[in-house]
Amino acid sequence: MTTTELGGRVRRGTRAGTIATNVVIAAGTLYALLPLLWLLLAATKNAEALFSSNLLDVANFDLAGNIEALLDEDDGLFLRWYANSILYAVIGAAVGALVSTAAGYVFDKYSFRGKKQLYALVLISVMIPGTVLALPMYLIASRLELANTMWAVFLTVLFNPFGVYLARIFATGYVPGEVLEAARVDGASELHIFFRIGLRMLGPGFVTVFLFQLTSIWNNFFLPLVMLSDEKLYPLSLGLYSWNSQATITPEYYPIVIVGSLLALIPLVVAFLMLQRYWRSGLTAGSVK
Amino acid sequence: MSHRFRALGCAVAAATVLAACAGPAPDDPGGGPTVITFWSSLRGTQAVVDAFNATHTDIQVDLDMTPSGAAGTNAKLTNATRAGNAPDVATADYVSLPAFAIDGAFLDLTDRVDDGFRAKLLPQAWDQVTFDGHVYAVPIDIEPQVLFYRRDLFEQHGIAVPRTWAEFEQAARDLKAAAPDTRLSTFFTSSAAHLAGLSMQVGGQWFSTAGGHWSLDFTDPGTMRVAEYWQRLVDEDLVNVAPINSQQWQAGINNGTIATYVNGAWAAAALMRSNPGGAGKWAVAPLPQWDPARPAVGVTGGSVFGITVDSEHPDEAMEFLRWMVTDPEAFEARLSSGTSSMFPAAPDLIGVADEGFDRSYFGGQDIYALFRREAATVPEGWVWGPRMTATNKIIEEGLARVTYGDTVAEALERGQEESLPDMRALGLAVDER
Repeated sequence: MTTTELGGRVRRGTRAGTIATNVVIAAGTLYALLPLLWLLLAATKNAEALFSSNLLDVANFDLAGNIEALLDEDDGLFLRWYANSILYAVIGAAVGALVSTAAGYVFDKYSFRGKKQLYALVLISVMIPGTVLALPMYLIASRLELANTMWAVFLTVLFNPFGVYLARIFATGYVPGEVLEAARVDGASELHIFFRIGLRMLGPGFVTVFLFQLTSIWNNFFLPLVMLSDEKLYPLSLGLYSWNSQATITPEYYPIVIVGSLLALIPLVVAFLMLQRYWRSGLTAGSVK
Repeated sequence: MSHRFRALGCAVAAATVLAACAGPAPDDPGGGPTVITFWSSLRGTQAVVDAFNATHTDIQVDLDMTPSGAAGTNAKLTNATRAGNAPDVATADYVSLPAFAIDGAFLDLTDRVDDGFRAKLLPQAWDQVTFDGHVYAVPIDIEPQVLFYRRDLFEQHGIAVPRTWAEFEQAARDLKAAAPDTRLSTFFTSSAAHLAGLSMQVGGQWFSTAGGHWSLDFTDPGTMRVAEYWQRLVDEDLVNVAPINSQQWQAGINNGTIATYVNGAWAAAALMRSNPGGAGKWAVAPLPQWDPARPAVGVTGGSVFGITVDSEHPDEAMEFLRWMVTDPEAFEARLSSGTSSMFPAAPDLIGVADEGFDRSYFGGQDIYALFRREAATVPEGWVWGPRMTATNKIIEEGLARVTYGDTVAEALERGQEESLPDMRALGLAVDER
C-alpha cells in the first residue's frame, strides 16, 4: 500500500462519507416529513378516497367539506377545544416560562442555604416523566376539589424543572454579575433588577423555555385525560383522541380527526416562526466575543 | 365466588369498603330532582339523556362524554374510583366488566333486578354480566358475530355462501383460484376479541369461575381447533393478514379485494359509513358453523352500564338504566343521532331498531331478523378474565407476529402464561387447567 493510494483512499473515503452523511440526513428528513405529507394529503380527501388509500388522486379533493364537517360536529365543539388549548398553552407557557426564568436566575445569581440540595431536587424532577405524576396529581386535585376544572390542567403545568435548568444555564451566559453589582450600587431593589435588567438580558432564554413549554402543554394528553371528564374543558389533543377512539364504530370521525390534527398544528408552526428570531439570536449570542 | 368478588372489592381501598360492604346508602329526601352523573363513550347518548330528562321530573341525568377504550373511560373510572369521585353510572364493555366488579368499582345489582326486568332482556345478555349468580351491570346490546359478504363477488365467481367452516375454507380456495388478487377474508392480528368470539362458538372456555376459584385454559380442544383452522388459512395464503380497521384492511374492503368480514352485528352500520360505495353489494349471512346440527355463535362487542359504589342514588340510577335499555323512546333517541345497527338486548326493542335502520345498503335484506336468530344461539357460561384488557394485549402481541412465522396457538399459550401472574397479584386463587 503506497501513500498515494492511501491518500486517494482517504479522499474517496471522504466522498463516500459525504454521500453516506447525506443519505442519513435525507432518510431522517423523510422520516420526519412523510407523516406530515400524509396528513396534508389525507386532510384533503373525502372519506371514501381516504379509505381506498388513493391519497395522490386529486379528483377526490374535499378539504372545504372536511373542514365544514369538523366545525359542525358536536355543535362546534372543535373550536371550543381550540380555544381551550390556546388558553392552557399560551398562558401556561407564559407564566411557566416566567417562573422558570426567575428560578434559574435565582439559582445562578444568589447563594442561600440549601441551594445545592434544592437544585439537585430540580434535576431529579427532570428525570420523572409527567405521566407518572398524573395519578398522584389527580388524587391531590380531587382532594382540593379541583378535578374536572380548568385549574386542574392549568396549575399542574406551571412548574417545569427542565425550564429551570435551562434558565440557569442562560443566566450564567447572559447576565454578567458586574451589571447587577452596578445596579445594586445605584440602589435598585433586587426585584427591580430582575425585572428591569435580568429578565431583559434573559429574553432569548425566556423565549426558548416558552417554546418548550408551549409545545409540551399543547401536546399534553395524559394529564387532561385523567383530570377532565367534561368534554367542554378538553384541550385539542384529548378531544381529537376522544373522537378517534369512536372511529372504529363511527368511521365518519376519521376524516374529521385528520383535518382537526392538521389544524391543530398551525399554532405551533406560527409560534415557532414568530419567535424564531429571538430564539436563533439567543442560541448564537455570546458565541463570538 | 361472589364472596370472593365482594371480598376483593372490600380489600381494594378503605374508602370503598364502607360503600361496597355497607349496602346501599339511604336516600335523603330533599327538594328538587335527584341528579345522577353518567359517564359514557357511546355516541348518541346525549340524545338519550335529553329524552330521559324531558320525560322525568324527579330524576335528572348529567352526562359527561368520555373517550372510549381501555385508555379512556376504563382508566378514568379506575382513577375516579380511587379518588372517590366516580359518577353514579358508567358505561363499560362486557370484556372489562369483571375487572370493575373485582376491583369493587361496580355495585352488586342482583337485588335490584326483579323478575319483570330480567324477563325483558335476553338470557344470553344477562349471562355475560352475571358472576356466580350476582349481576354487576345492565346490558344494552348483545352483538352476535355474523358474516358480512360481497354478494356481487360471490355471484360473479359462482361461490355459494358457506354454511360451515369447511365450506368457508373451500370457498377461500375457489375464490383465490378465480380471482388471484382477491381473498375471501382477513385474519385480524389486532383483535383477540374476535378470536375469543370464534372460540366461544366452538364451546371454548378461556376463563372459568366454577368451584369458587378462577381457572384459565386458552388451549382447550375447541380453541385449538379454531387456532389451527385459521393458521392453515394464513399459511396457505387463503386469507389476508392485517390489523382490523387498518388502512390496509379498509382499502381492501373498499376496492373489493376482500370478500367477507366477520364482526358483531353493530359493524353493519360502520361498514355502511366507511364504504358508501359498497351499497347494494354487501349482504349479511350467519357465521359458518362447525356443526350445523348444534348451531352456536360467539359475540364481539357490546356495552353494559354499571352503578358505581360511590353512587349515593343507586335506586334512581337503576330506574334510569332500566328505562335506557328497555324503553322504546330511549332506543329511538339513540338512533336519532345517526345510523346504528346495535342489536338491543331487549327483544321488544328489535322492532324499533329495525324501523330506524335503512335496509337499502344491504339490498333490502332483513338483517335484524338474522341477528335475532343468531343472538339466540350465543352459548351461556363464557366468562371474561379479571384483567382482560391486559390479557388481550398479550395475545395480540403474539398475533401480530403471525406474519413472521409465529403461530396463533403460540399467541394463545403466551396469553395464558402471562395472565397468571397478573391474576395471582390480585390475590385470586388460580389454576391452570
